[in-house]
Amino acid sequence: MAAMSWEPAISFTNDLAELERLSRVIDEFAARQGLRPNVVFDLQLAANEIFTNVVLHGYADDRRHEIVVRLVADTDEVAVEIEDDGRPFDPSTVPTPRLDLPLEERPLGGLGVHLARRVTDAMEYRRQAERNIMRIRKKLT
Amino acid sequence: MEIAETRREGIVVLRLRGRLDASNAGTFAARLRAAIEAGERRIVVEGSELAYVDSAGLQTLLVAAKALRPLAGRIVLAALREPVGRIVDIAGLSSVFALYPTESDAVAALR
Repeated sequence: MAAMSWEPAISFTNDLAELERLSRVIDEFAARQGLRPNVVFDLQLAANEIFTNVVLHGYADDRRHEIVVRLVADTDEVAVEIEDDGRPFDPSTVPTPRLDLPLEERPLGGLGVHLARRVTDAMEYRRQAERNIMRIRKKLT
Repeated sequence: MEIAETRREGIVVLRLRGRLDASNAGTFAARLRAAIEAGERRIVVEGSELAYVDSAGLQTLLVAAKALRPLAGRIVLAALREPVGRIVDIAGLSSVFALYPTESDAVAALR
């Protein structure tokens, strides 16, 4: 059985323009790991939603912050870890939006976390040394 | 993302190519808002070359649909491919937007 392999951490800044690079980094990881297209897309979507939340809601100031992304490949699953120094925020506490409401009453928020949750197998949050660390896990089978 | 605008039988067709995400959803939102303010009431969003969409992109469509509703207007989606179609479904939007297999089907339905 192959051991879990951690790729080198990749540094991003808190800028939505980084979303494209984040997706590209996951694409390249997926190519190295031979992941199926749907797995790749789901990882990209979940990682992008978490990253976007951090950029839009994570900081009380307008300064530049580093967001660290780590990719992990295991025998039966892959994971993306997103670490930021923003205010404490556990996405798993976000309630599932009501998706059965008619258009007029449909809320505009909360959709990102919902999508991330639905396309992954686990989202694990921890707060460590004043940093948020969100791990998104996706099974390969 | 690229947005190509065409007009067919009085209906605006916006063809999206590439990635619609939080980094460019504002541009797309402004484009939709401008079209509605200019009096457009029937809009087709064609996604045969849309490779990626996130919640910010979907919210943009939802905002346009909400704006058009009291104006008796409609915005529909056409030719979405996977996995974009799957995400629209997971977001619970397949009950909000009419989805058509092709742009021509969408135009015919709005005519």
